[in-house]
Amino acid sequence: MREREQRNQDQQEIQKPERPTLRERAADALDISKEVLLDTVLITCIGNREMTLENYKGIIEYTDTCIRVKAKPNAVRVTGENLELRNISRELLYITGKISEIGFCRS
Amino acid sequence: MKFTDMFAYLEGYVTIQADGYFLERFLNICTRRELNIWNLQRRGAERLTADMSLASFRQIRPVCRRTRTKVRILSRCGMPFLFRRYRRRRFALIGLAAVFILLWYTSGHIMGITVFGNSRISTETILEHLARSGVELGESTHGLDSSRIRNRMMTDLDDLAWIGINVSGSRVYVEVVERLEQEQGVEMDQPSSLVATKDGEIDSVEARNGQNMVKPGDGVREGDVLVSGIMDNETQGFRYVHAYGEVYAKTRYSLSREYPLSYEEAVDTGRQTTRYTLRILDKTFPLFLSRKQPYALSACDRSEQEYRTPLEFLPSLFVEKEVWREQTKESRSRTPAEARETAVEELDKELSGMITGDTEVLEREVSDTLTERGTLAVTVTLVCRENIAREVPIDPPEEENTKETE
Repeated sequence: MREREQRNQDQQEIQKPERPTLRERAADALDISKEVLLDTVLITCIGNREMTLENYKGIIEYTDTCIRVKAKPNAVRVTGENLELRNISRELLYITGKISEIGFCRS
Repeated sequence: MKFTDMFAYLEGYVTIQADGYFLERFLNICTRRELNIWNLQRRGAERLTADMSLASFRQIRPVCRRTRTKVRILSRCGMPFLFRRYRRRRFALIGLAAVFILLWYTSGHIMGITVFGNSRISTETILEHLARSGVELGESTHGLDSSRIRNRMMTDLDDLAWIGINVSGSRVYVEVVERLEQEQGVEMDQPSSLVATKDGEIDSVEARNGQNMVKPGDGVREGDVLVSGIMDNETQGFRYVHAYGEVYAKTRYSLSREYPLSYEEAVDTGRQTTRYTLRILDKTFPLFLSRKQPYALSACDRSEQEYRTPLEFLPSLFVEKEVWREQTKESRSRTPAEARETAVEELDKELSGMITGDTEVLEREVSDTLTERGTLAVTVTLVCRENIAREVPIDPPEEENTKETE
């Protein structure tokens, strides 16, 4: 089980940078925004005070110092101080506060 | 954010406090069910506060049950709660509704008509004709077809050269351009004669073109040709010209009236009452109780004051003030000299209204005779000097032998 996961991960890491997937190539060719076609997360930051996450899947953890969000292809972890969810809807997450780190992690 | 804040306020929202172990799950379910949640703040390990729209809050119960979250309302905000607070105050609500209905009515109907640009056609005449075309106080502004009204006004009123009808808010602006005076209508290349407009005795003829038909001292009647545009002399032969210039004549204006020597005069007793009437559009609201005339014999002075509202679409408020003065009849008598004095004063005033501005008054004749009925008949005559010439076009006939002016 553990091995297979590791192998999958390795394959992904090897495959991705070398050969883009069909969808990626299609998005490039058709000039469509990739986050729609590939169903990936789109992160927009305004300094370190505001941040929007579009096309996310769900909230995994929410405290005032750390927010973890389920998204494709990887979960997003935002750490900082006094983090607030200013607005949440199905597609959009609007975070304010003092953001110190944004990272991708396996959920 | 401000715009959405306003919507949230209109819709109503509550600030909630949620307690539970699975708050993230609670949020995920809320977003999946498309419940409106914003301003989330973590208040410790098992608590968060958030704002939620009223409609969303009504659907939150199953979510709470599934995630074992306890929700408490911290504060309520917005219009629905405000209305609920005032629900018992029925008259306040009626008043508010009345204000809105009034606003709706006044913004869609004509609340004022401003006529400008007219000097010869009176504003009353224009308003009367406008009313016939459907432009009247209180009429709806939506169905106003300004080009149709303009056409109708142009055919109804001859003196109009152009009329513009603009609706601004609920006030209608009517701009009038009048036709030029008809006397100036004869072109310089059009043959014309000078014709007398009044009876009189010719004083001087200052014709700059044309054949003189009168000389100083002649008496003329209205319509007589003074200077003819048809010329015939030995050097130039027979031809038509545009006759123009001034012909001054002595004209007489006279008025006579009988003045009784003993008469009754209404004299103020000193007692008076003032009554006010409010008027909006064509509705009047008397601010007094008795509808009878206050005194058996009285005179009344009316004055009206318009109060215009700062908002264009609201109608002006008119306050009519009536001052009723009680009067009694007193018999008086006067000497013929006194009667003559008042008569001259009165008739003079009326006569000066009859003569035009550039008329020169040469002398004033006053004559009086005592009649058998005990009255004094007074006649005041003004002898004036004025230009009586008017240009009248002549159409040159096809045949040479018709001479209409001789």
